Amino acid sequence: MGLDFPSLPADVSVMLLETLPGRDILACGATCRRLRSLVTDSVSLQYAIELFACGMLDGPRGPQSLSIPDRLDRLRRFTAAWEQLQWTNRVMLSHFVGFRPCYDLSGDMLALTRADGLDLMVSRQFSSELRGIDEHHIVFAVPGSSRLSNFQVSLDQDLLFFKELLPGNSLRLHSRSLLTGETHPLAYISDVTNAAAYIHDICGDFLLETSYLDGPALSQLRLRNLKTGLVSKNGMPQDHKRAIFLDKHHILSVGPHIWGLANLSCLVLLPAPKPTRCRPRVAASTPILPTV
Amino acid sequence: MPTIVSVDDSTVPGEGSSRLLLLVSSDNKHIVVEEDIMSRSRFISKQVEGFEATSQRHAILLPFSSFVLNKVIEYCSHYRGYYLLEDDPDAAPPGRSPVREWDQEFLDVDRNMLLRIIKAAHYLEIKSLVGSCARAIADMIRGKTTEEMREILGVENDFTPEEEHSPSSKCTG
Repeated sequence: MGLDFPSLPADVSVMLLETLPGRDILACGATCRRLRSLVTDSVSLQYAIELFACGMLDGPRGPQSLSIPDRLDRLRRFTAAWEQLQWTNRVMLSHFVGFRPCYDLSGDMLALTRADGLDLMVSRQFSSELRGIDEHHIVFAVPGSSRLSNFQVSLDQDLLFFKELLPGNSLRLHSRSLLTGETHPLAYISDVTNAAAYIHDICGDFLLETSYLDGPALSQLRLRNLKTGLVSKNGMPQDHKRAIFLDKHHILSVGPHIWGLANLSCLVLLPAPKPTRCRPRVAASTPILPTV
Repeated sequence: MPTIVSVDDSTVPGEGSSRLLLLVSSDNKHIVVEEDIMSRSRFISKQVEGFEATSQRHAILLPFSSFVLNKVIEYCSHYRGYYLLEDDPDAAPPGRSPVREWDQEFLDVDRNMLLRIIKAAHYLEIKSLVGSCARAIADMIRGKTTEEMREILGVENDFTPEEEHSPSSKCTG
């Protein structure tokens, strides 16, 4: 026997549906007219459905945070913006004349170096209305800026990571603070390695390095902790050339093509590597960022 | 609102701090219950405030059966003296937090009964019980197809064929 759900007061029905995932709310809205209008008329249920439709999760709710109608409105503007992407007006970066873009960086960051051999570098954060970030940039000196490449950025750690090619087929790794341009106070690695086909990727505390030399036996994969320098993994699937982080627990490695098809394999890091620290752990209260 | 029947003060004896209330169910059963057990119910609390203002105590008539009422009293007695976050007037809706273990067993009743409990809890304004029942019902339809939901919720498909395929949310259109 059914529940006779329609006899429930509307506010209770809405509260009940709010506890369900968006998919179930949609299915429930398709059962009958009454439930459909209940789902269509409730802002919080529409919000749950739209979150589900764009694969997002709701942020924390507290007394200070946005109300549900505001969240729904913002989410709708956000999805609508994606549907009709447009070029914004061109913005001239007048005081960056003479800089050439080295690499596009994640999270609205762009790093530029001088093409004329002046050893300066600019990291630029674009503004984002949606996330309340103001535009700002910093200029800092890097020796040999024209030989820099392979930029990696980790916004949450305020870390800019890149390599500098040195004469004689070797390279140096740099870690800088995005906000100040100084050497990053926590990242430890700044050593010189063999430069042959070297590429790195960072994720969280970890630096993934691959270098591919001509013989397959010479290709290398190394996983190191940025902050302690400890090597936690060595070795690579046979013949594979490159590897990148997919996320904290997955490394994608690329092998030689087989019958014209890409040969990928996914290395799973389980459990997450937890190397013992060789330096005392920084206390949680210690400010990590230097004052700007 | 139920009609409030005046009764003799002697039927509702005051006994120190924990006074008694007389609740009358729709099947005309008289149930005497301690006042602080029922203080979880905003509806009852408001009635009691009314008693204090007029210094007249009445029986409280409720529009559901003694069977349901006893179930609600059982719930309130179990949580007597406990603070439940959901009962806070400012608390956010319970969201997807799991139902408390005791509530799960308490609400292990047939669908019809569950519906009657949630309606009674809503009438009595017991937010925590409404929340637990709502999540118990939500768990029944979680992950079900629309057809299965109709069966569980007891609703008829009353759409015309065109309507049935129009989306219930803008974003799916």
